[in-house]
Amino acid sequence: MSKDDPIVYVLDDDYRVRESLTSLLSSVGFRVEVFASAAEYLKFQKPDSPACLILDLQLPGMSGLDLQREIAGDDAPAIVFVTGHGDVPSSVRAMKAGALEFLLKPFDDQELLRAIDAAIAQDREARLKRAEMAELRRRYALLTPREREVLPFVVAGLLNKQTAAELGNSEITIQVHRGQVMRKMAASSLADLVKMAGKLGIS
Amino acid sequence: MLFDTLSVLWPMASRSDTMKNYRAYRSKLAMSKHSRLKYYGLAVIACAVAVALAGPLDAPSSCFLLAIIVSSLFGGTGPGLLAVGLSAIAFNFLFLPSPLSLSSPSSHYLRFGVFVVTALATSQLVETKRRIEESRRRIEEALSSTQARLSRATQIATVAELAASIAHEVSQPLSAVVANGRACIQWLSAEPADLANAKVAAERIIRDGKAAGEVVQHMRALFKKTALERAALNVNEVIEEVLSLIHDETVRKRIVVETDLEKRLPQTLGDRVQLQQVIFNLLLNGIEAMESVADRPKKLIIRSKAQSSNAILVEVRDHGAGVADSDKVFEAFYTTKEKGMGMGLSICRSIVEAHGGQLGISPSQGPEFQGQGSQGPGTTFFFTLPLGAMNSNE
Repeated sequence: MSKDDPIVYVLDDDYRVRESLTSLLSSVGFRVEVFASAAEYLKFQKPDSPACLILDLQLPGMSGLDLQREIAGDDAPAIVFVTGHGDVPSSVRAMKAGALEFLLKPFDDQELLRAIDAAIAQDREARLKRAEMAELRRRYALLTPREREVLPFVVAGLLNKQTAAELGNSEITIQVHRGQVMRKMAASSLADLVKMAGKLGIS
Repeated sequence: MLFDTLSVLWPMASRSDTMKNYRAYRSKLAMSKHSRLKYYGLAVIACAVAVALAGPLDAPSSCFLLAIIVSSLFGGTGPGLLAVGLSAIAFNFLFLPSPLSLSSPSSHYLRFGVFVVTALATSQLVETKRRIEESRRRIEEALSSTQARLSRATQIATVAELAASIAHEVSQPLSAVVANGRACIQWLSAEPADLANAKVAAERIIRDGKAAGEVVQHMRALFKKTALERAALNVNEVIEEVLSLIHDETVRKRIVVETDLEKRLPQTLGDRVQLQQVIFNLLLNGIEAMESVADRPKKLIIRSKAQSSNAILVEVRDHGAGVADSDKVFEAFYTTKEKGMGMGLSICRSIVEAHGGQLGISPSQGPEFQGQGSQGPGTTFFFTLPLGAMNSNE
């Protein structure tokens, strides 16, 4: 299987649900990993591929919502909640914490597959964004402190002369710094650099 | 877990015990008034006996003292003092050398004082003992009524839990059935078809379908299992027992409960606890139906009458919002309440039918409901119990 093949993690304490979802999801071509508890899921070494997590709300030990909170922020896959007793408060909490879908058991197979597709698409996009951000940060890290000082002026649209006056340097020095910034950030144009700076939160 | 919760759905036996205690206590109270008079009589008799024995025994003081002690011991202060009076008079006229001679007035007064003190001390002792017993009985009564209330609270909580457990137990295998079914189709429609995996999926469908079926069967068995314990009973008594149980609730919710119970209702055979359950449920439904009523008195009427020579009719009439779909209310899991699970009336119906009777519904349109606005005519639930219910099917 290639690196980009999506994985579906199934976390449910009922073996019947685990078995049936393994069969269903592998029959439509997904790689499936099943877990009976949150601890098992956390221990598992997850490969670097787009993924989604089908999470039962009621689990022995750490509950689905607890796990969601625990893994939030990391490169957690998109979560599709399934539950036997869906109550409004917990579904609201799950959705607020970023769950993509909240399905009630017995769930509709088509609905589940649709939710998984959407979750994987979202995860793939999130992964791309994360990779892009990581690359930008890597490039930004190459800049010298002086170059980092120059960058905001450049993206703000100041001329070299104006920047030089602001920073108390000669215009020629600023010109050199600016060239270095463009090269290290691998920006093809000033517009490109402005976009990157925006993503990095520099203005 | 599901079937544990189901089995605590019938906690009313303890309540009928409470009722029994309460009734015994009431009848004791009534009796004590009657027997008070008897104790005055006892005081008179005791004194007469003392007069009779005082001469032969030549110990008048001791005899009268004994009479006073006996009177106040059994009768309390009143009869005790009566005995003192009688003794003083008898002593004065019969046992002093001459009624007019004041030969030893101080010993005479002293004797009278001893009589009075004895009467008072004895009756106080008895009174204190009675008070202690009374307060103990009150505490016990309060305890058992708290227990009854607690068991009702548990019952209500249990119903909600039960709904959740049933939903969960059935939805797990059903989820698996759906997923395996889809998987089976996928394996079969692959090129080439994966027969081995398809077969496994199909086998699991059967297994999980059976599991879901078992849950349903267990439930059914549970409702059947509660075999009726039939005994001759007066339905009016059952109604009164339940009314006293919900008395607090109706007072708190400002509900006027009217009873119209036929006095000479024939006895019928039935399971007291289960009939309590039915009446309790119908009354509770009526109370809940009137929760939002603000523009008219919240009136709940319960009526019993001999319907014909072979059946008793019980009616519970509320003055609430009415029922939209009167056929559906008896279906299991049909509910109009936010927190209900829709089992109450369905259980009631199966209980009444097991007794050989019928449970039905009609809009409340009695004279007392007319001319009070067209909205919310209320609902009347009624059930019948055959008098010859003794040999209906179990």
